[in-house]
Amino acid sequence: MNRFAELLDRLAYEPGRNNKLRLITGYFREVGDPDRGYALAALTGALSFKHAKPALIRDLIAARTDEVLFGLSYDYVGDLSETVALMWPRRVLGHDESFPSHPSPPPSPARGEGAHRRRGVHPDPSRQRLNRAKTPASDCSRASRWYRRERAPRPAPASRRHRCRARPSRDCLRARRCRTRHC
Amino acid sequence: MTTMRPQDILLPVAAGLCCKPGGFHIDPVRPVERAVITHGHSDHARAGHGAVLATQETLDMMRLRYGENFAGSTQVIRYGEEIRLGDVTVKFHPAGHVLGSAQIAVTCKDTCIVASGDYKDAPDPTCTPFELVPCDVFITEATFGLPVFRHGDASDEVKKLLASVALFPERAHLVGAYSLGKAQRVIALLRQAGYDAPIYLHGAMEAITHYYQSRGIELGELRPAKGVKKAALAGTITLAPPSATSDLWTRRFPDPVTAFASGWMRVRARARQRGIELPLVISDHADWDGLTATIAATGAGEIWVTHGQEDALVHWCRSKGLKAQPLDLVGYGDEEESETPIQDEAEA
Ligand SMILES: [Zn+2]
Repeated sequence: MNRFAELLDRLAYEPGRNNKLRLITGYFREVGDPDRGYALAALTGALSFKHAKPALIRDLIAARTDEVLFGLSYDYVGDLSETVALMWPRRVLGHDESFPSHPSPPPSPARGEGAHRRRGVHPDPSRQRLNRAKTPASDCSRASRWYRRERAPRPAPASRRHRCRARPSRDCLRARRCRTRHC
Repeated sequence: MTTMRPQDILLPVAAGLCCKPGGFHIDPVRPVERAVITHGHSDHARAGHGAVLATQETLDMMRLRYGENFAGSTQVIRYGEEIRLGDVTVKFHPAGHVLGSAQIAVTCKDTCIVASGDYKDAPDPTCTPFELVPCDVFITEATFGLPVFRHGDASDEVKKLLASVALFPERAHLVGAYSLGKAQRVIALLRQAGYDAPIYLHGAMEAITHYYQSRGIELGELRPAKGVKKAALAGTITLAPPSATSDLWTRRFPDPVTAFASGWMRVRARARQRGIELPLVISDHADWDGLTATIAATGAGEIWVTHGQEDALVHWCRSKGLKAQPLDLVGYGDEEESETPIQDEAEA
């Protein structure tokens, strides 16, 4: 799934249509099943995550991080799901794990049956269901949300924006105060 | 014998961090009589001081940027060397930030304060690794002092760059990187990853990069980007100062992919703000985990936090039972945001 997240990153930043197609073709050529199947579903909007709502995500991160540190971070980043993804406590794991920063197996496809079989571990369906309900922002849900947003860019709410003095044509990232170094 | 209060040894004043009993300033932002300097970045190493004490590399970098007469006199100090100045002793330790960068331990009677300047605890093939110095008071930077900043492995980021070069062989890859330290680290990482084609340089990178080579840092074959035909730059990698990757200069490259090597690239809005297509999270500053781990490991009971996100780091220290305060030092920034290149960019 990290490879898929990487693809979405590149797609989000790449302005050219033909270059986007090259990136997608490259991904499907390089990545095997079942990951690329889930990726296709995510890209076409066929995956839904009915439990991953902002309030749940907030509760989950609140249980795992310091409130003040979360507040300062959210202020800086300006996007809830991105802040949570960046702050999520890290777990020390091998490189074959698809989402090293996640403390419990999320229901992303790479964690599913196929992935377990690859590692010679039998999946425990009950545990997977439990995790499915609990997962805040697996790479997949985060990714599809990001992707939707990229396709239809929306300005940040006015309360989260302010005019940067040095770069008046661009929105400053800081909601609260500008950093002297760029303002 | 009485123990000195830390603020009797080092005190923030308008010119920078002042050591009264030693009669010097650390990284002064205004001209002073005696300056002790941590590293060569322009916000820490300024011209016009009476006397400067620093590592050989830092002094050389100042000479490259400001010319021969950048200070009244200079004195070289090596890592591990201890020098008595007035009533204090100063000792330099590697900071792992850029070539020649140092943390400065100031000891007066039985109190030791370490001014770490800028530092990172991550591996870097172009400089001596960070050394942990036990102390009573630790002065830390906070450039990436928010828990959202975790930099990951720089060599993985370089792999991303190489994968992109392989996917788009007809395009040029332009990598924005601060010209002192970051650029040479990216080149060294590319070489470590097995990339052995010539790497092209923006004119503003040449002097400092050749200086790194003269200090024995292996960077492989480097060529100036200037004067190379557009078609010949397809499939190549060029390093340039961040400001150059968004100006007219880029027109000489075929359909360039704009990358930027910086710790700020961890946050998407930052990358978008600069119009970056390939953000590479490579930083010469410690990330949140590096800052907090280092602070804890020094054993210091008191932490002074400067330039960056002081609030979050001060809060973290206090939550761990450490005495902590933000230091009101002005004039320091992140070098990437306020680059003063060593060579005039106009000629590139
Ligand atoms: Zn620096």
